[in-house]
Order: sequence, then C-alpha cells, then structure tokens
Amino acid sequence: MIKDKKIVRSDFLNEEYTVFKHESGLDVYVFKKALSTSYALFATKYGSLDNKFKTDPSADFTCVPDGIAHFLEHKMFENENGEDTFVRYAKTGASANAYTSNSITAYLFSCTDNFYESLEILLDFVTKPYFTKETVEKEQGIIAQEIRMYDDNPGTRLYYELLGALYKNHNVKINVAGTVDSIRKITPEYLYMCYNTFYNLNNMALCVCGEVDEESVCQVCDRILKKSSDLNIIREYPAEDAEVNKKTASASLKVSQPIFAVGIKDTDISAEPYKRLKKKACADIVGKMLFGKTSPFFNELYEKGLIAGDLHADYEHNESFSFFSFDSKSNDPDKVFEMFCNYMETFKKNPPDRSEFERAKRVKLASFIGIFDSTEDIANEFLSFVFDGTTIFEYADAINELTYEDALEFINCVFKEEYCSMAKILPLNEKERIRK
Amino acid sequence: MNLPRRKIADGIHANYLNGSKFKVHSITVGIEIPLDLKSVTTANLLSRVLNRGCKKYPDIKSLSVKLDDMYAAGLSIGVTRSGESEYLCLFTDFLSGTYTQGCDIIKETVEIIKEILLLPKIENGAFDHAYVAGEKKNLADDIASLINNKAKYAKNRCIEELCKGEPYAISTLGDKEILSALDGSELYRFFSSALKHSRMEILYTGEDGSFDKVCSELTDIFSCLEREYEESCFDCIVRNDVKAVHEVYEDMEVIQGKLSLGMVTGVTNKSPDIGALIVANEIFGGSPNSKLFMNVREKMSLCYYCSSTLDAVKGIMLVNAGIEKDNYKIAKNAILEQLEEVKAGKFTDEEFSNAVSSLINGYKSVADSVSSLETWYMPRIFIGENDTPESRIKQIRSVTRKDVINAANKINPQVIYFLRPSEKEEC
Repeated sequence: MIKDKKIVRSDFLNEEYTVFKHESGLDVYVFKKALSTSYALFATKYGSLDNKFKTDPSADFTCVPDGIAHFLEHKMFENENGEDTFVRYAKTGASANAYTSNSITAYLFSCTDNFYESLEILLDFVTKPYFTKETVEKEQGIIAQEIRMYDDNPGTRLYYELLGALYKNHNVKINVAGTVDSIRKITPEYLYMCYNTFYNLNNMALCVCGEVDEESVCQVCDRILKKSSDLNIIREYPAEDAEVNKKTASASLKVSQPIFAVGIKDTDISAEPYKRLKKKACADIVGKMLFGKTSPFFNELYEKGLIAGDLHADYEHNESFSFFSFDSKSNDPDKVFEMFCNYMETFKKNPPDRSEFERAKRVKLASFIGIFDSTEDIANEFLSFVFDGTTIFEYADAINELTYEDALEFINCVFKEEYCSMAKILPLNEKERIRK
Repeated sequence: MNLPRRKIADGIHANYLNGSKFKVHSITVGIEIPLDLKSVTTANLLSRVLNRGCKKYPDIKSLSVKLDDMYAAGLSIGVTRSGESEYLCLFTDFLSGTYTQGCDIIKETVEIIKEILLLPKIENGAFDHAYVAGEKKNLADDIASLINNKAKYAKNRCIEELCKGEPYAISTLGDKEILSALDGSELYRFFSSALKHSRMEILYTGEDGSFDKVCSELTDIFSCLEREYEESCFDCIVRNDVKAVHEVYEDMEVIQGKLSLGMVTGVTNKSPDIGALIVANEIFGGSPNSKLFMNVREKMSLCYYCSSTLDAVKGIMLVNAGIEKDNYKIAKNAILEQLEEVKAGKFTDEEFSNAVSSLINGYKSVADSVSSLETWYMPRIFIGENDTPESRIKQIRSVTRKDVINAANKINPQVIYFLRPSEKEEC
C-alpha cells in the first residue's frame, strides 16, 4: 500500500503524475500515458563526474579510476547464477538497455506486455551486484572496443576536445567511458565500493510511464526492495576558475570537412535547483534567438557558405558545471570564430528585439509539448529534472516566467570572449598541409 | 492494409492514420522519382534547394519565421529509398489544434506545402542561381563526408559489393561528377516533370474526423497541376543465385576496424517464409539475446557491437561489427559459425520463444509514435505492400522451429568487407 502519494498536474499540458516515497527509501514516479509501450527507468544519481567521494565526513576521500560508473553499468547485467539479464528480459519480451552520463546511470526497459514482470527483473538485477575478477577482465575487452569505436567518431571527439579546452580541472572533461588504460585499473573491489555508495535507494529514483497503476508498481517494490539506510554521500569536484583552460583545441581524424564547436564556460551556478532550471530555460531561448535559423548570424554564415548545416546551440548544466555551446561543420572554422566574436559585441549593443524573444519563447514551449508523445522521452526527461532537484512541469513554468530582461541579462553575463574556447576536428590531410 | 485512402488528383492519393493520441501531428508528401544515379543526384540537390525557401518565403529566415509562428511547425524535404523505389519526401509536423489557440494549423500547414512544392522561387525557368550554387557545394561536401561515419561507410561499401550493378547499390546522395554539371534550369525541368508525371502519396497522421478537411484542402492546392500521370511499377531485383564468397579489404587511417558481411536471402515481404526469416535473424543477431551478441561480444569479448539486420524488400541481410584489426579472422569465423548454428537448428526452445516475444514487442510499439508509423507505412504505401504490424505479429506467431531452420538455410554469405586500420603516419 502506498502511504503518502502526491498527484502533480499540469493543466497546460493536460498531463499528471503520481509521486511517492517507497518504504525502502526510493522515490517512485508514475506517469500515466495511454500508449501501447510502457517504459521504466531505474537510475542512480551517479556518473563519470563522481570519482572522488566519501560517506564518513571524518574519513579521507576515496578516488576511483576514470570510467568506473560506466563500467559498473555494464557489469550490473551479469548475475551470480550466470544468467544474463538480457535473457531474463527476453522471457517477457521487453527491450532493455542502460546508459551512463556524467551524472546519471540509468537502467531501462520498454515493453508492450508483461510490464510488472519486467519491472521485477529491473529492480532485482540492479539491486544485486555480482563482480568477479574473471568477469571484470572479460568486460575490459568489450569496453575497450566501445572506447575505440568512439575514438573514430568525429562528434564525440569534438565534444571532448571542447570540454578539454574549457575546463582545467573539472571531471566533466573526462570521457564517460574512461580510457583503455584507466579501465584496466578497475577491480571487483572498486566496483563494490562504488556500488555500495551510489546504488543506495535513497540516491536513486524509479520512473515508470505508460498504462501502469501505482499500487501494482508499489507491490513490485515491496517484493524486491529492501530498506536502504540513507548515506550522506559527499562528492568532491576539482575547483574550476571562470577562465578557460585554452582558447583552442583540435584533433585530426579521417573526415572530409572540419567540424567545430564553440563553448562558453559559465561558472556562475546557483545552489538553488529552480534557479538553475530557469537559467537553462533562458539559455534555450537565447540559443534560439542568437543561433537559430531566424538569427542574423546563422543566415550570414549560411549564405556566405561558411557553414553547411544548422548551428546546434546547447546549454549543459548541473550543480557543478555549466556551459553554452554551438557547433556545425565549416571549411573555415577560424573565420566563423572571428565572426562570432564580432557578433558578440554587436548583439550586446543591439540585442535582438522583444518580438524575437517572444517568438523564441513560444517555439521552446511548443517543442517541449512534443516530449509528451513518447513514454521514453517523458521518463528520460523526467529523471534528469528530478536528479537536478526540480520537476518536468516546472520547465514550462520557467519558460512562461522568463522576461525579455532575463534574456538580456543572460546575454550580457555569459557571452564574454574570455570564457570562450573553440574546438575543431580537422581532416588528416589538412593537418599535413598546415605542417608543410 | 486498410488505411483510409482518397484520390486527390490523377496519381495523387492521400492516406490517413488516426493520430488522436498524439500532441504532434504530421503530413508527409512523397513524390516518386526514378532510381538511377542522375535522378538521385538531381533529387538530392533539388531537396536542398527547396529547403532554402519559395516565392513567398524566399530565404531560410523568412521561412523559419513563418514556421516558428505556426507554433514551431517542422518542415524538411529529403530523399528516401525503400528497396529500389525512391521518392522525394516533404515532411511536416505540427502541434495538434488543441495547443494552437485558434490558429487553423491544418490549413496553414497545407498552405506551406503549396508554397514550397507548387510556388517555388523560379526566374527564367530556373531555380535561384545563388541557392543552386550554395547547395551544390553543400551536397558535394556531404558526399565527401560519407567517410566520416566509419560504420555506415563500411556498411555502404559492403552493399555496393553485394548488389553491384543493381539500382540498390546507387549511393544515396548521388555522384559528385553528375552534381557538378547540374544547374538551376535542369533542376527545374526535373522538378516540373516529377510534378506532372510522378505518382504522389500523402500520409496524414492527425485528429480523428479531420481527414475530410485535409483532403479537401489538398485537392484545392493540387488542382492547379496539369497532370499527365505515368503509372510506374515497383519492382526490386531479388537475387536467388549464390556465388562464391568474395572478400574485400580497404585500408584507412582509423582506430577500429569495421567488419561488414553481406548475405543474400532471396526472401522478401512477399515471400510466405518472411516471418520465419525474421525470427531466424532475431535469433542470429537481431537483439541483445541473439547468438551474435551472446557469443561474439559477451563470451569472446571481441567487440562492443555485432548485429544483423534484414532488408525484407531487397532480400538481403547484413552483419556489422567493430573489431581490432588482428581479430579479423577470429571475428569473421565466429560470426559465420553462429550462422551455421542457426542453420543446423542449434538453438533452444527458449531462444526461439524469446525471439518471437521480442519481435512482437517491437511490432506493437510501432503504433506509439508518428515517426515509427511513417517509417512503417510510407514505403509500404508506395510499394503496395499490405502488411501491418498486426498482420506481421500474426505471421510471426505461426512460425515453427522447422520454418526457422528452413528460412535460415536460405541465408548465403556473399561478401565479407573489412575496413582495415592502416598504420598511422608520424605526426
């Protein structure tokens, strides 16, 4: 039986969800949606950033090898009786997967039948770690191939080149999967240590979405989950100055045309989750105003043939880092950067007018509505909001509350040349040409 | 397949899917084009030029402002291929009227379709010279960029070898030599001819009861076309003959090697044993419970990804994996060995029933998004295939172990392609 449940409703979206705290310590979110596919996400607030931590305030910090959160995610699929988790799911027909980001590790499945049986498997395998020396070694081979696959991926390489340029110390610049060398240092002992710290139910959340009933979800939780005593997890992230690590970074790969990303580091991070959310919403609107297809900058670059596709603007943030970025492909990234620096001066003096702001706001709101057509999108978005201390419906509130003046303030505070770096991925022959 | 279907003009039909449960709806217009290298190149350039604007919204900015004002409606034009049929595809999506505060979003969307397709920016019988020149350069860059995604590149190279000389092997973006000779007037002639002669299929996914309105709006806009519809047939070359296995190596400065195996099955959506082949593929390499995943990845730890996919229009199967250079032989043999296991019936009843339930789960999910519905129905409407996710489920449920073994024995490896990491130059 659920004791204290709360129903949260959005009239604007015509959607609602139920939230309750299970006796085990787990927060459970049930989002009802009349679609054939139901989706469940069981996640811990733990990612590649969390390399240094302790639970006893008087103890020393524990440091673990890079890439361990992702490694742990892979290893959770193995069970003590030798049965593979995918085989267990196969009996229910569910399609299962998992992912690790810099701050979240999530296990998920989608299914059209046997939802509660699949949910039972999900809760069961994630709460039963089993690691041996042999299975760890075997996984090192698989993950090394995953890392090497991404080494050939221009987009991934660009992303980490940019983070390496922006950040001097912060862990966000470390590849989520680690390196072929760092994962060699991973042992069963390290894995258990991380598991026992971060896979505490009080540090986790369950989000289910579909034609599901909260009482039945609670019953599965009752059957599988044992009470976790709340740990006080203390994470330490390296201190980071406002200045960037270096202005430019590049790598050469077998690509035909350079790709580039410009990042703007933002170290003014509020301790209040809703303020962070509001800043994210503001960044999304400003990104659309300054770099979208209606912006003068995009149109000038495109018409001059300096970029060949969209300028993708983004703002990534959590409680310890945040940065704005835009990327595209270009035969002359340096020229684009130069034009961007001039553009920054122009738009600060003559910012886009109020109607541009209102249009961008409407567009962001309309795109947000689209999320609610998919149980997968709802559950994933839901979780990222929850782990940052807010809720999904609050994003719409934040957009509605934002004013033109908020956008101008963001533009003036964030867009400063000293906070900007550029990363490039260049074709191999390009580097040769430069060397000659 | 019993989708509601109406004639809009000669050779132009609108088809309807009920999308009441979605907040975002869509209208997609497909215009058939011939599948030859020149047409593919021309259609790709045309789609890019059309994306730049039209007479009323003559540049990206004015068109984007218009779309933003339609509550962030989406519009894109591209080229799609299914088997050996090719079509220019105009895709729109837009918020349901519930969220658009009195704006007649269907009418606005059909208007935009009219502006883009029927009122393009033409001067002296040619598309805008600057647009054509800019997009020629962009398309040429994209053709050259095909090399950036190594897994996709390896897969395409394998298809080229497997289907040599067949339309299926034609590069999806076209050819850079042909591209360099194209101009705005040739592009316009190509487009005018398609609008006059080609078959068009429109798929609307939207509110219950709104199909009549969409059809009447569409009939209005297409009435201006002087149609001389030329019926076409949608054949696809399906090979049944088996040749000796052909190994192809290509050296490139990459970190990870990409292995791609091309096989012919001769089994298509029209074959009675398609259900059995789909189950055989699922057991072999279609899911994380498959033999390829469980053995080549999990037991042998040779790769991060190793999976098989079917093209049931063309009757072929591909296996793709990313591996170390030195593991080429081991990985290739392991993949072929797993195929032999399926052919010999060496799979458990559990593997069999798991494959069936995993497939059924997938087919049931098709109904849950506008894009998966489009992906399912649009090519089928063009090719005239009548299977629905429901009929597929029925077919899969009736498959026996013996059927799977028989179907698996029709899978014949023909090409083994390896994108081989070469030694890096000193930097």
